[in-house]
Amino acid sequence: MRFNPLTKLVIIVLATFVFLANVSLMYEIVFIVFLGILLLINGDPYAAMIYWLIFSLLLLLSVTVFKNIHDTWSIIGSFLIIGGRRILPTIMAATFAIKHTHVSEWMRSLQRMHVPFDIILPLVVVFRFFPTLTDNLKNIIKALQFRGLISSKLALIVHPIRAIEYVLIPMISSADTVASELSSVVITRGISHQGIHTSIFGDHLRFIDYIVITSSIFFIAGRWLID
Amino acid sequence: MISLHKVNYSQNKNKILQDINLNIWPGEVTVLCGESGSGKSSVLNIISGLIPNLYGGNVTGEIRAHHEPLSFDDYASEIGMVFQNPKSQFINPDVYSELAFAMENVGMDQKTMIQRIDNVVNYYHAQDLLNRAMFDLSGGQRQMTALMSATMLKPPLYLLDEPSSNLDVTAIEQLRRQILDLKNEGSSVIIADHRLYYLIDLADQFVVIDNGHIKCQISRQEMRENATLLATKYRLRNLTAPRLRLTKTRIMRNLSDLITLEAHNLKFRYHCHESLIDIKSLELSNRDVIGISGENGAGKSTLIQLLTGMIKHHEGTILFNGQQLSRKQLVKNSFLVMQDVHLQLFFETVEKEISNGSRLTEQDRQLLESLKLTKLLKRHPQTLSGGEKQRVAIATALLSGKKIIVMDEPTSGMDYGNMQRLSSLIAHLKRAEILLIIVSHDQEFLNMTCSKVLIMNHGRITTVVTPDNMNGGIHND
Repeated sequence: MRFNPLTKLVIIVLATFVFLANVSLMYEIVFIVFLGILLLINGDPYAAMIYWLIFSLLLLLSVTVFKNIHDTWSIIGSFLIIGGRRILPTIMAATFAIKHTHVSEWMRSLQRMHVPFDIILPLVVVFRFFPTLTDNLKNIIKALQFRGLISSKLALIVHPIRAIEYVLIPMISSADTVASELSSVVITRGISHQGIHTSIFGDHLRFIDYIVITSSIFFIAGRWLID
Repeated sequence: MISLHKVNYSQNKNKILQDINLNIWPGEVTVLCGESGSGKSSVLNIISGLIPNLYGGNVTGEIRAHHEPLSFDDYASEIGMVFQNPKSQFINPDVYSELAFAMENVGMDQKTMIQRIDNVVNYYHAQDLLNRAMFDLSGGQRQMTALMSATMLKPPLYLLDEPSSNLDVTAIEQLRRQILDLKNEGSSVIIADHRLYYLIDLADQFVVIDNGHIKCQISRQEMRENATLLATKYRLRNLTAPRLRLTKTRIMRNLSDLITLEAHNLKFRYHCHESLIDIKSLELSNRDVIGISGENGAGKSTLIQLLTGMIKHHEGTILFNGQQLSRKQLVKNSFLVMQDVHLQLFFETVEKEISNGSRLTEQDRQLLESLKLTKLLKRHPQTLSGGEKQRVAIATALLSGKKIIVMDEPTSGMDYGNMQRLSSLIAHLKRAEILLIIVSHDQEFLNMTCSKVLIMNHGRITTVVTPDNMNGGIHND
């Protein structure tokens, strides 16, 4: 099912609110379940399952192994686990926002919110830039393997400094070309047209969007009323 | 009408174009030809306004469209432009949104957009592409999507930069018909391309650009009458449609020098899709320089990735010199010279790049001399030209001591001179103890380079062409 970009923005705001506010364990669990359901409806069941699993693991560790803080290691472990639990909703919300929303839908929604065009244009190029860089990265890794400079992808993680050295030079040299080629394409496809832009996917809010936005308001209100 | 009058273009004091005078009438097809770096793309970019608006530089002279001076913002949506690199000429993740993009930008309503996409897709017989992800498409399919996107707003002017460079013969024929239709609809089309045979009956004028100058303008009539003469004089690429006519013969080798690569019952597919590669039996040896050809999306790239161990096959065996190798061992024995050579250069000098830090022997130096790299040894690889980068990648492959060397589309975007140089380089290399495999849809290049060409179709090898078997024996696959 498709969500309106506005709904996705509301969820990002909500996740940021939960990140900043101090919420109870029950609130946290309900919120993670809620975000997982959104991912399921959005068509990403694997992502939902993986995030739920990560959360359950973090939760389990924090109530068992790292329940009592007594030495340096338990301080570091506990810090990482609590930090992980804190940031997880934001990551889930970001996944929900990025997946299955087209460039044109974002552009149309941002335009409706009167975001200046000078901000929208670089955003569009940057969003498209990352997949190309990922694609280039894959090819660089292949080339490194053929050259025998790394034996497998794992070597990049084991020797991060060497990895950066090898990957960065071709990445940077390609980035400049990619950026100017992409800019040429967006410009010749008329992105700088001054009038209203539309989206082939429509831009009206559907029933599901209203439900999610209302639920978000309840989450924010619930922080004070119930928690 | 578009007119360029005494147009000069320079960047950082380098004069790129000088005294360009050109008139383009509605319904006319103009072809810009000339060697790589002659300034063809710059002419297109000046007309589109990307120079100087995006690329900068200093443009003087007069450029007029419909007798009015050009304004960049006003007419960006009046031009359909197709660029050379299929990898970076789309902005959306899937074909459907990519086709809609230009219409969305001018604020067209949803119903009209859907209707137009429907018409264009039916016209180009591209229904099966419509819901595909752009990143999953082959170079040729991306190129076709780019052309479809450019036609969505029905602009009066089309600028096509090397549109045929990633297309196979069938797709080039389709491109020819598409350009003819645009011309018949009254649009002006300006094409910069190395391949000219598909444009002979189509173009109203050929403009030869050399070193930033217009060397001559040839009418269709003149080109038809004196094609061979003009092609030699201006070093233009074949003006007749190429056919596979291999000229190279097999190489005699001792058993001790023989390298073989076999695949039996090889199968590969992505996730739950049907088999992308399905090859019953394949036997390659270094008695031949082997070419792999076939339509866009036939599985050529996937096959070479399987043979070099880059991806794991689901079924079957791959034998190297009669021995079954693991995926890692295959990677150890092979080297793939990619289309994007700049992504496989990692060191700060050409010398380090080639030697991997060790000392170069006298024999190595001789090889570098034959590749004309000796003078470049102290240069940074990323500052070299495309052709030089490719020669560095080939030298790296040869000095790595690997036995299987695969080149993926080595002539993409190359002019005739560079293509000939690469072919004679390969002729020089084939005596070495290596198995050379060249993936290319460029039949001209295959003709002058290979002694055996495998034609792929839907993941299978359907035909094997050798010099004695020009029509292609049907492969028992």
